[in-house]
Amino acid sequence: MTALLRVRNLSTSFATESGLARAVDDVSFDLEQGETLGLVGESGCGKTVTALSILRLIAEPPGQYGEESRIEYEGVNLLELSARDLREIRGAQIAMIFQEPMSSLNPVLTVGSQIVEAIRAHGSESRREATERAVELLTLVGIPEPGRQINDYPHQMSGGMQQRVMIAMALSCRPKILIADEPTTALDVTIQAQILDLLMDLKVRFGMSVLFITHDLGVLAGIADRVAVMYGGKIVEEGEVHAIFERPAHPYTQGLLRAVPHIDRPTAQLRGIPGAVPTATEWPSGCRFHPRCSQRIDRCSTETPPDITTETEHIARCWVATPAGKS
Amino acid sequence: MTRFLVRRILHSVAIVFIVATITFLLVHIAPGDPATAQFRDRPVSPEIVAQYRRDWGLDRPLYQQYLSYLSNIARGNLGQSFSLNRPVSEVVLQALPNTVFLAVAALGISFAVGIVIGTAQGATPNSRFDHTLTAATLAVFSMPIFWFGLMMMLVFGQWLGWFPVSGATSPVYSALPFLGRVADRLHHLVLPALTLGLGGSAVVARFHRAEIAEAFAQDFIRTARAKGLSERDVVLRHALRNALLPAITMLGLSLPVLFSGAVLVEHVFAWHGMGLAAFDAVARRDYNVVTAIALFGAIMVVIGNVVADLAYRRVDPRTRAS
Repeated sequence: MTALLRVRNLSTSFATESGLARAVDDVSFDLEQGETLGLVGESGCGKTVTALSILRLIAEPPGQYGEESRIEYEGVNLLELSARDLREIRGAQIAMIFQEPMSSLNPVLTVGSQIVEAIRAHGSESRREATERAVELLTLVGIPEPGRQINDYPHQMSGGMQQRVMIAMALSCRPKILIADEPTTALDVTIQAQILDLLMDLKVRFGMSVLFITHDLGVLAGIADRVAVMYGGKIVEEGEVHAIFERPAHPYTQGLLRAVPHIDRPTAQLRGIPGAVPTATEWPSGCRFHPRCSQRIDRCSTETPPDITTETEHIARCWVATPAGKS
Repeated sequence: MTRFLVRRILHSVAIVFIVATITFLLVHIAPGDPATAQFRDRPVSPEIVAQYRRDWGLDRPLYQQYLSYLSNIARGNLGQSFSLNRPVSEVVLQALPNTVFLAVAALGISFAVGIVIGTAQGATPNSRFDHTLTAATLAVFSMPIFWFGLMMMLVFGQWLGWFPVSGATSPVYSALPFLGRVADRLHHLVLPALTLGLGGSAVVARFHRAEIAEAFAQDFIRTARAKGLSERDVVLRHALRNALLPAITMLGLSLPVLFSGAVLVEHVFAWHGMGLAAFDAVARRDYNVVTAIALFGAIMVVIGNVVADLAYRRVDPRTRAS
């Protein structure tokens, strides 16, 4: 069975004053029907650019996609679609929510008109039908008094409510895939939990696949089926969520896990990863993580590591990872 | 809201007072006075000149003239025109409709043209189209407006013969039927309004291009695209709507520019409005007319700004009183 969304050899680069920034470099992954895939990594690792590339929301120029890149949705390469055909996908088949709900909503339009606009962009509903549907959607995402709030402007709502509006808008055309780019990062912790619960509940009710992007590995433990870890514009480890958490094979993933606080181990000291993410204009040679890696060997700095399958459906791109069957 | 209005009106009164004072001082400091201007071409005895000054109260100390001027305008009395020997209010009211007619047309042209050009440029930044229009608007903006007016006359009046180049109406105006009069007025309006309006549109376009480009960098534009909206809807519904808010402020700010531009354009096109009246009055040192027109200008500008502020508060939901 082919996946709903197949990303193959995706490279997205930007022309900058200090050279070509290869923000996403040869990334491939699948998103299956009904699955939640978590894409995790530090700021600047390319996860948001990956998400935006899927719907071609990167401005070209300065952005450009590599010639080998393919983003196949139901077998169609989105990178080859005309602008008109692409619009049929955006919002209708694949919808997206963003990190900052406040700035992602237009400040001078009511939330209702922004949802109505999304509905009418893909359907033949009248304004009245679309407004009724918008009220239903606001009810669905847990906005109190939706009949009244539909006429509110974004600034009259809290951040959590704004994100609910974004979710309602994203779901308005019953998309098959929801891309959530750090949807809870800008919110209070208690609100974060509510939004996560809502997203997972709606995912099941709508039968959607979710690509969930975050810098917080802890968030993924409760919601993801599979996890892909990004570093330096590449996916360095990918596997089923329990395997990633219990048997991380890449030193970077191991480092990330040590940086996540555990509620059952209150005294354990949190350890960060020394150093910072390198810039996309000058990635390190070999394995891009080698300057920060505590387990590096000589070849790490010169040779790009291969895909090592450490167990079924669990791949790490690391010279020191142990292949399955050897120990 | 009421407090805001009261404060703005008090500000406005203060501004008008300051403008009245400065204009009064300026016209009196300028070399010459109504008497010298009046008898410039006629050799008359000094006694006659002195008598003229006495008659008009120009021999009194400046502070006395200033105080009586202030008390007069406070009572709505603009005084008498020296050179025309008519009440100033009559002179101004006669000139006002033509100027308002020209200014409204020019304002309409400058914003309609400027916003269309600015939006088109801002939506395709750094394209060849954008660069060409930037050069064109800069050229129009850099041209002295009277020269631009003369070129318009030369091309569309002299060479092509499409439009009349002088006056607000034809000599046969009063003999025309109603619709003919309307057509005649509009026909005369085209060149002066285009001259004044296109000069303004260059400023509006450059300003609006930046606003559109800034709006395009906002996150909600990405959201609009992610929803699957057409690029047309993204521009018109999302970017333009946000970029129009600053344009409202600009509308208020452009009134003084329009007013000062009108002085030159009216002169070039012999358009009998406030600008031409002001021009003649300055040449004749007609103090009362000059200060009255400056006062009118100040009042119009101040009202324009208050209206723009109110409009802004009305349109931007974030500043609307909740």
